[in-house]
This record gives sequence, structure tokens and C-alpha cells, in this order.
Amino acid sequence: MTRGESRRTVGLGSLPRRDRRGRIFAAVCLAASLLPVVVAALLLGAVLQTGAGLEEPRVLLERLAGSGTQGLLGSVIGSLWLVSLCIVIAIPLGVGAALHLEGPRRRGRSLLALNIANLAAVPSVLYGLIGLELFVRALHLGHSLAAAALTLALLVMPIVAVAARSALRAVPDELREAGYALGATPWQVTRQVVLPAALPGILSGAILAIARAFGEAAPLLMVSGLALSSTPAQLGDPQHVLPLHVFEVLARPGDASQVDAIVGMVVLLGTLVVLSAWAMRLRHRHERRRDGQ
Amino acid sequence: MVGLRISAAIPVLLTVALVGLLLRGAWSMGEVVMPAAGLGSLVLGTLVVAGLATAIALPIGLLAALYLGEFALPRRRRWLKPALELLAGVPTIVYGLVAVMVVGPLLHRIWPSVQIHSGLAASLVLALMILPTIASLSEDALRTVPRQLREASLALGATRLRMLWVVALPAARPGIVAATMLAVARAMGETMIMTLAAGDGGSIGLDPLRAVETLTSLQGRAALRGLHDPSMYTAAMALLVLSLMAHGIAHRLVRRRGRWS
Repeated sequence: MTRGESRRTVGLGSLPRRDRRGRIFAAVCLAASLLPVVVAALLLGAVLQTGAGLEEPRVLLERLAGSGTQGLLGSVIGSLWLVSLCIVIAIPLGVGAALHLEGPRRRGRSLLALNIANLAAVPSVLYGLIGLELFVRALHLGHSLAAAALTLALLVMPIVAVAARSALRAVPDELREAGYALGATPWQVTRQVVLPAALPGILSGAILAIARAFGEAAPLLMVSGLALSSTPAQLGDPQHVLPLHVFEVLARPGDASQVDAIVGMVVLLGTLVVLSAWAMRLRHRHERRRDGQ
Repeated sequence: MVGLRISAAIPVLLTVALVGLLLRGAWSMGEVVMPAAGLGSLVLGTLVVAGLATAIALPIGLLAALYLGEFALPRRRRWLKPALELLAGVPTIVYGLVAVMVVGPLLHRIWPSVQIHSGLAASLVLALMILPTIASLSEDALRTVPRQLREASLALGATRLRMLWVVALPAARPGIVAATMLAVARAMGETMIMTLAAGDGGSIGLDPLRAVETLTSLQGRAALRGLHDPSMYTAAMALLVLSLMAHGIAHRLVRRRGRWS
């Protein structure tokens, strides 16, 4: 399938006016596709309403500001540390694996691709158990920020690798050949021609990976548990992170106010929306530029 | 270039680690470190909750896929599809929060025989979580059906509905089943919703109106208590086998889809 064909729509558009049953069915389908969005919005509204009744906004703000590293604010900062560390590890690994897969022919490549695809099948809790065994126990990192970041990096590395792979594959071969024709070595072609051309795709994959790492709670629960006292910026310390903070509030009601969980949810969702919009814009712009060639 | 090879080796290492985890699960089975609830009931609980979620999400997801792939004008599709995909990306802890703070109590109020922690509440929220996956991937499957097939059917006098039913859906069926299996795998491996909404740590049973303990909720609860529970590995092994099975089916079907392109 060529590039132009894959972008052409296959659907036949709206139905002829006289096809009544078809039009009714199409309306049912429209309702079904709107349903999840509407239900999610309603549920979100219900949660916010529950939260609004619990505490005055000003009291809430003061409490959040005064809660220090144990509270919500501390956990957001912890999450930022964790995600940056995780991304710094995951991007080189993911892009490296993608370059290896898309590079000149090597043995065992299809097996490796299958392997990466299968890793996406592994539930995230199990990554937590691997992290627990590998980093916390075998490497003696303890329930630390470093162990948590390494575990998350394993989790998001396939995301980066898959995105980078498709971005690399979209780079036209003419560019590579032009590089070789000018006498560049394979490494120079990769670094100066292929990677810059694939950068938007790689970047949008990386942003999706960040969004995933920011919201992931299950593996962190396995790796670090809830025994968290936090002084950020120390690699060896346990780290309080936002998803776990929300989980803690929900799983052990009474310890902290439920409002914390709701504010945490708003922060998580806001981050998701911003990151997704950014990734989508990057991809969109890239596609437009590519098709304009 | 050596660095590339090393980074490419990481998935392999991970797989080795997973196999180690499997062996460790099998080992702890041998030592009879079984979950207190019994492995069988946890597996069944997982299947009940995930199956119920799929049963709710599949028809709606399929209709949504039909709309996105067949009826929607590009203008409407352009914002509807990203909106659905955004739903798929919502952190699961948020879904867990919604399940435990809104859906559970609401169900209990409407239908008092449903407990606040119930398999049903977890299933409903899981259905919301996996619906975008089913819709989006099924739509991709519908789009791989060549336009010529549809046009041939329409030229023979079929209405659009008949064409969908006789030509497009059967041709896309492997892809749709694969999408469903991926969604099932996601539902089975989901931890936060299961821990917060499905199980309450005490009861063991399969009645979705009550609390249902699942493989992942056991792990979540064990981690909450303090991490040193060998039965976690047994549950992890069972979960890994289940989700690899679901993915295996999906993978095989997707590969067969190639006959149209």
C-alpha cells in the first residue's frame, strides 16, 4: 500500500436520504460513539461535585500550600522528578532499539520485533514485580526513586521504540542514498540525515511515553509500596509520587482528605490533555509537511 | 553502533526476566504458597470481571467503530476519534477513583443488592476504559477492507446496511476479534480499578454483585500491606499466562488479515 492510498478514506460518507433504516442505524452508531465521551464527562462532573462539597477552595489552597513534601504538592514534584529520570533513560534505549531494528539487515530482527510487540502485552503490574526483583532486590537499589524510574523506563521503552520505528521507516530512502552518495558513513547518515528527519515522530512517541509514565501507578506500587517519605532530588530515597498519593488516599480512607485525590485527578487529567494535544500537533504538522513534499 | 545493539538487547533481557518470574511463580506453587483465596477462584474472578466488561464494551465499541469508519464525515471524525483515544490514555488510577467514589455508591443507591465494592462497578468502569481500544482498532480493521469489495456489493443492489452486514463486517472480523482480545488482555491486567473497586480484601466469590477478588487486586492488596507475599508471584504467573494467551490469539488473527492488502 502506498502512502497516498493509506490516507484515503475508505468509508462512503453519509447515506442517501431514502435509506431510512440505514439512517436510523447510523444515528444509533453516532450515539454509541458519543456515549463513552458523554459518560466520562458525566462521571468527571460527579466527582468534581463530590469534591466541591467537601472543602472551601481557600482552605484547600492553604492546606495544599502548607502540606510540604508529604502532601499533594510534594507528590507532584516527586512525579516530575520520576518522569524526567525515566524519560532520560527510556528515550535513548527506545530510539537505539528502533535504529537497530530499522538499520541495515541484521540477524534475528523479526524475532526482536515480535519480542517488543509481546512486551506490550505484559500487564504493567508485572513490570512492577520485575522491577522489584531486579532493581530493588538484585541490584540493592531499595525502594528508591532510581529503582522506580528504571522500572518505568522498562515499561515505556516499547512505546518509544514502536513510535521511533515507524518514524524512521517514514524517512524516504532517497535521503539516505543522497547521504551515502556524498560519501557519508552509515553513522553520519543516521545522525545527520535520518534522525533529524524522523525527529517529530520520535518526539511525539516520547511525549506519549511521558504521559503514560506520569499516570502509571501499579508498577510503582509494586516497586516502592506506600512507605514513602520524601526529600526530592536524592536518587536513593523513596519518592512520593502523584498516582500513588491518589491511590493511598482512596485505599486508606481517613488518612488524608478525599479532596486530595480529586485535586490529584484534575492534575493528572490536565497533564494528559496538554501532552496529548502537543503530541497530536507535532504529528499533524509532520504529516502535513511530509505530504506537501 | 555497539550501543544500539545493547539497547536492542534490553527487550530480550526483559523477556528473560519475565521467564524468571514465571519460574518463580511455578516454584512457589510447588512450595504451596498459594493465595489464600485459591488460584482457581482468582482466575475465575478475573475472567468474570474482564468478561463482563468486554460484554458491555464490545457492542457499543463495535457500533462506534462502524460510525467512525463507515458513516462519519471526515469533519466530525477528526475530533471524535482523538476524543476517544484520549479516553484510552486516561491514567487508570483516575478510572479507579471514579469507580470507587461515584460508580460504586451510585449502583448501591439505585440497586441496593449491589455492594459498594462490587465486580459490577469494576466491570462498568473497565468497559469505559477498554471501549476506545475496541472502537479504534475495529475501525482500523474496517478500513483495511478494500473499497472495491464494498462497491461491488452496492453495485449488485445491496443497501448500505446489507453491504456492511454481508461484506464489510465479515471481511474485518479477524481484526475485530483481535481488537477484542487486546481489550480483554488490558482489562485482565488492570490493577488500580480492580484493587480499588472490585475486591475488598475479605470476600471470595464470583457473584458480580458483591466484591470479587481478582489476580491483580490480590497483587495490589499485597503491595499495599507491605510487599512480602510470595503468593503474589503465583498470581503474577497466572496473569502473565492469561494475557499472553489473549495476545497470542490477537497476533495470529492480525497476521491473517494481510490477505486483503
